[in-house]
Amino acid sequence: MYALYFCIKSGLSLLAIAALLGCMEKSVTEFPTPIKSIQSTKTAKPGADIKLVSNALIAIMANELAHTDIVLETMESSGELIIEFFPSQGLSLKNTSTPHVIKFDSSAPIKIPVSLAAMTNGRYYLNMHISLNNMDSISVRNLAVIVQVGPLAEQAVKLQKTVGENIIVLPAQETISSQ
Amino acid sequence: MRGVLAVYSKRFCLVCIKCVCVTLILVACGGGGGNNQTFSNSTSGALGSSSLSSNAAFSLASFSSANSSVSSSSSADSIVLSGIITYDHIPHNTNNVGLNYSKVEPRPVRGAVVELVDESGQIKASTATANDGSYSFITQKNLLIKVRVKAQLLNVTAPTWDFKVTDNTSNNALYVLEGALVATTTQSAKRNLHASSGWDGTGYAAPRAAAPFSVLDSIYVGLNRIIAAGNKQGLSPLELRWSTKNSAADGDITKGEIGTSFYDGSAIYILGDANNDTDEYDPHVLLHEWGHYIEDELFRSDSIGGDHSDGQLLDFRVAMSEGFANAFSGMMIDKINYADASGIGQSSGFTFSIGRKNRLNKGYFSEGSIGSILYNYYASNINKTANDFLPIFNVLNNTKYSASEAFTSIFLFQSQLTNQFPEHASMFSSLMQEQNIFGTDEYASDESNNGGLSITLPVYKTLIVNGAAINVCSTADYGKHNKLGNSQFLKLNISQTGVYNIRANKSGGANIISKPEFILYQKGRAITYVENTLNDNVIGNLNIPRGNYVLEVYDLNNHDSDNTDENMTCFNVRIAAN
Repeated sequence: MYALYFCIKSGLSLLAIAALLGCMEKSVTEFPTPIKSIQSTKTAKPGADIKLVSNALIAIMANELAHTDIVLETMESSGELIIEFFPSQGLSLKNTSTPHVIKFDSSAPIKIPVSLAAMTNGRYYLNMHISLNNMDSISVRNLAVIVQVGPLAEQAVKLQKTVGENIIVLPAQETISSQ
Repeated sequence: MRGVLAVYSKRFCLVCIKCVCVTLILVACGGGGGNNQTFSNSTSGALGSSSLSSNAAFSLASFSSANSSVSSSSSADSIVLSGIITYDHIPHNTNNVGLNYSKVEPRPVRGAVVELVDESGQIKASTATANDGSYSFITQKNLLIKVRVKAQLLNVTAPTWDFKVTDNTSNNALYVLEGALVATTTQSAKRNLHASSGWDGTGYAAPRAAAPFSVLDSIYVGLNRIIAAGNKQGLSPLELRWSTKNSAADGDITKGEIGTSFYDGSAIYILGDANNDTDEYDPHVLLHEWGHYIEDELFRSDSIGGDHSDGQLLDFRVAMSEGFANAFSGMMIDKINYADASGIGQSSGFTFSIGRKNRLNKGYFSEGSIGSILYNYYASNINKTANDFLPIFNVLNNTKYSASEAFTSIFLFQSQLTNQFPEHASMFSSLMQEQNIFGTDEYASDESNNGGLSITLPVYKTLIVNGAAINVCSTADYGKHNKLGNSQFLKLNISQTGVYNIRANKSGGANIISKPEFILYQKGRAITYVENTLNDNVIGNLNIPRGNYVLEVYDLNNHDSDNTDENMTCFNVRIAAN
């Protein structure tokens, strides 16, 4: 009986302590939930309603003809796309017409097969100049796909340091005369 | 018996303690079920006060010349070293498409930091160029020094600013133009420095020294206009990151793979990839991005960012921000035709009239409509001075705009404009109606243009505590993340601080697993985000102080660009006091 009494007394004491502690806590306990950053604050310059939805980076081997699809997407329901391809120096574009003219009448993805080759390892770019005519206006956006040939090489950054400041010196055309 | 009783007593005691503990835990947990979160106190953002002076005719150039400093020396040992700093400006063609290299002209580098530097790299004196590009030092005779011009606008006394043009492919190093290390003589001298474009007639064959100073000059112009409109608030330091490697490839920024010219809340990145896309000579592009920075610094923007273009039907917060930035770019240089050069030899590109009124998809969700309204208002001389930025500045910089409980939108702008400039109200209302915008207050009451989606009206629904459920739908008909119809907005008044249960349960729409979520805002600031953890449902118990709020509800499927499905899903939204 004493044990039972002790038990109840202990329980009530615990309850009292817990209640006191509860009064000191907030009325709703925090369940830590990471507040996901759902807002992208990146604002881009105006341009045609066209974006790249296939991989922004393609990896290929040197001296290999690689076939891939460039996939573009627009929310325009109809119109005409004119795509001009400009591979960077050292990258070759094969079997692909440029300019590439596409008339579309839905917002389905636009797939363009391309074949690419490079002789040496390095990082190249397949640049695309895109003009979109949606029958209301003509707008332009430039896109590019990164073509990594072979392993990624770390690039050395040359800096001219001066006292306490990180600067890049541009050459001036200077004229000096007496006042 | 006693022993048995003792054992059972002991067991009962342990059970008793366990029960008490469990009870305590349950009480602490609020009874379980759903997501339980506290309502965190938001800290106010530094949006700036609106202490505007009506006679703030402040000249940036005159302020610069007051900064002239000298190296210490006696007059007998001193000479005057002065000069003019210029850069190659390349205009657009008269049809606004492409750059015209045949019309290159030297223009003054204005407001830039100029230093005298000795042979050990020590800075002997510092000043800033005036409005005509001139600088002047009093310095020692027979001193081996060079003139260095920084691509930097700097003001260290109130209102402060610090704008630098740096190279993101070289650890954000600051661009500087330097002359030769030459000894001063016993006579005063002139040292003029010119930054060349590097163009040799067919291409860029030399360092493009003018480019950073062209970027800087667009900011100088904008800064002057902001100050002339009455701004006295200091601006946060900002880097404008430009490189000849900055290209349309979207990857490693340190390699120049910036994707496009953009502002990300911390810096502005600018394209410089010759024969593909360069923006250093496109002031509209530069001032569009700087306009977003000014929104952050001096005004308020609730935009959620993302892809956008004229003609798209956007979340109205995005439409307002992008429309404003387009209009701002035209206002700052008084050029209605936006021009962005690109292509081989920078000879092509595109242009559009910011003030164009005839367009497809007019409405409060169109950045083209917003830009047109704001620019035409700016340019109007009906009961106002034409091309005067001051009224727009006053509306946006006012605390009533920045502290509004409604989201930033063209509706909020019109509401505040009507209060501050009632004599402009009729003209502005006409501009709105020409763009098929009919809302009558900051909550778009009476708006009738649904953009082809009936679910979008009213623009703000009203959710009442312990009231009937409000049905809302989320769709990706016009694209994902930041398009009209992705989210729905509900006004919410909390009359008594307390714990409230908010839930959204799927009520219809496409036969898919939906992922409803909601965000609670106060005065445009996201206070609490309740993410989806249950199929077709989202529930949150929030401790909400008394006040007015806006609840944004959406299906995460329609905010996720990786999800290629386009579906409409609908939800019943309720709020109940606990």
